[in-house]
Amino acid sequence: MDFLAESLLAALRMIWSLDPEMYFVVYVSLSVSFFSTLIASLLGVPLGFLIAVRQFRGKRVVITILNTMLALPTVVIGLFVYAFLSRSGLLGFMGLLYTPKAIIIGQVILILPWVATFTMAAVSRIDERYRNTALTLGASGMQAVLAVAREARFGILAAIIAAFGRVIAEIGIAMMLGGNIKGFTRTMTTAMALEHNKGEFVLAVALGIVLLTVSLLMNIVLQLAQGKYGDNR
Amino acid sequence: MSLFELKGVRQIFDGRTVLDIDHLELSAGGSYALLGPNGCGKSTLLQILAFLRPPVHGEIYFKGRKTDWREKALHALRRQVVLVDQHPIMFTTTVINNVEYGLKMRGVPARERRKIAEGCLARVGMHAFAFRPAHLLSGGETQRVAIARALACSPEVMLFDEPTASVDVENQAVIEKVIQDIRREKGISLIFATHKRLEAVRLAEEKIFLFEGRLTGPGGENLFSGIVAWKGEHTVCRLGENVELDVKARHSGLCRMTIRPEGIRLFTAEQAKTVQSSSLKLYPGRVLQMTAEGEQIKILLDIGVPVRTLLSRKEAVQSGILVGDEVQVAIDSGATQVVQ
Repeated sequence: MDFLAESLLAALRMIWSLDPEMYFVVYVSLSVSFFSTLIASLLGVPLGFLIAVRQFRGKRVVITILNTMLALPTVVIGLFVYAFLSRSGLLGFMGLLYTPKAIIIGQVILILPWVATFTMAAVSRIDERYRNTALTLGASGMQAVLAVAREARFGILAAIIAAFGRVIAEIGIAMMLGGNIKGFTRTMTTAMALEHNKGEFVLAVALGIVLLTVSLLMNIVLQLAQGKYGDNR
Repeated sequence: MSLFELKGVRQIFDGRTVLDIDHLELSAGGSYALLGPNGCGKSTLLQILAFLRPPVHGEIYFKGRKTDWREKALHALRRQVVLVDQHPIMFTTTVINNVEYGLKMRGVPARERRKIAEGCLARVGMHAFAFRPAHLLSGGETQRVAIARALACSPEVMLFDEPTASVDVENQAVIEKVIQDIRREKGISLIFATHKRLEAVRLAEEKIFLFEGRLTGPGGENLFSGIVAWKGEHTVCRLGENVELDVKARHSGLCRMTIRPEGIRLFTAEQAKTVQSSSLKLYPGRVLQMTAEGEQIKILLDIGVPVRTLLSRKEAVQSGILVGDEVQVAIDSGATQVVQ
């Protein structure tokens, strides 16, 4: 127990002293997670919305594929993207392997099905009467769609935050596609794994605290966003 | 001027015909009550009239122009007709934002929007609720806000689906008064579905009876399940245990039939003696209820099945009939119609 307490105290001191190495790792993690979540949201929210509101041939197949992709292990995505980005791969000429962009590509593949599936679930739960009410009150087709999206906003926001939580905590893609290069692609999770292997726990614990704090902040944002109107959703 | 004209309109859900109207014409500025049991197609008809769902077959003419069901064309039509649902749903924002929604869609400036919305809320007595979360209102309050929200759009036609079906008596009275007022003051055409006959009498100039998706004509108030059978040269329809009426029908077996209230005549015991010698068939009955409907008195009778007849005020006074009296009832053969 003394060892754990000492590591925790040292970690808190590290956070307090604004250790540049630690904060750069945090920056890399937050920045790749932010961009992968942004891209996945821009693609996944409209995709989930369309699947929820449109009837088309093969809809069940698309939903089944998306649901299956929810369970994709990060190492499988890592391997798959690696095959494309490695020097002998189809996109090897772009030189993206072991860069933050490679991590973002892998993470987008990881969370796109999450955002799409949870958006679809959120929109599907919205009462059909919202659309009809908007239409009868004079909304155009697009305005009615936006009215429905507005009603599903808490579910969609929760989907985005869950996706962000998923990417900031993942390690397989960051390790395989980023390469854990110090000062370049080292993220919180890859740094923690490395420090653990070295038997150095102070940085690992400090990053663990930051990771949990980020997660807590995201949940506070969600709660604040829901406000008094989120209670019944 | 014709407001709506429906020609050969059929609506089919999952292979089942839920609405089948050969012809129906509704005039501008009129007030119409759609009456009929649950599942008779009232809501489906309102959805079509609100341009929310096209019929599978048939044509709708709105103000003389054939409805183009393409989304682009519908937008302009929907801005003239507003439907208030039986269970209106509120957007998850404040009451005032809900009322402003239609105006916002029409590009009305914010200040003007607020002024109109406040006026509409005041009209339905919900002004004090303007800044409350709309989804936390009670059923009656929600219905009133929904009316204000529809009213704010200044429509030419207002459609109501069972406006007082799920509200308490106090809200019922307020809603009826609001509907009467807006019709009187603004001359808005009014079409509403209800299963409350008295409400239909209070709010509508004309009643339209629907049964299993079809118009049943004025006899829709006396709608019965019966059994058609051949009896000698006659075709009769048996209603309950005692009533057997001459009808015109092609098939025997289970049927639905209507009796026009005007074709039901009442006789006191004294009067019955004078007509008994004729071939007129009389059914013994009892007066259960008498209500005023405009210039007429509607009488609910129990002759083994409940039937409704209409008398003029003068006839009612002259007959001296009171609630609870034993009477003899004659039904004209021309007043019956097998609808199915």
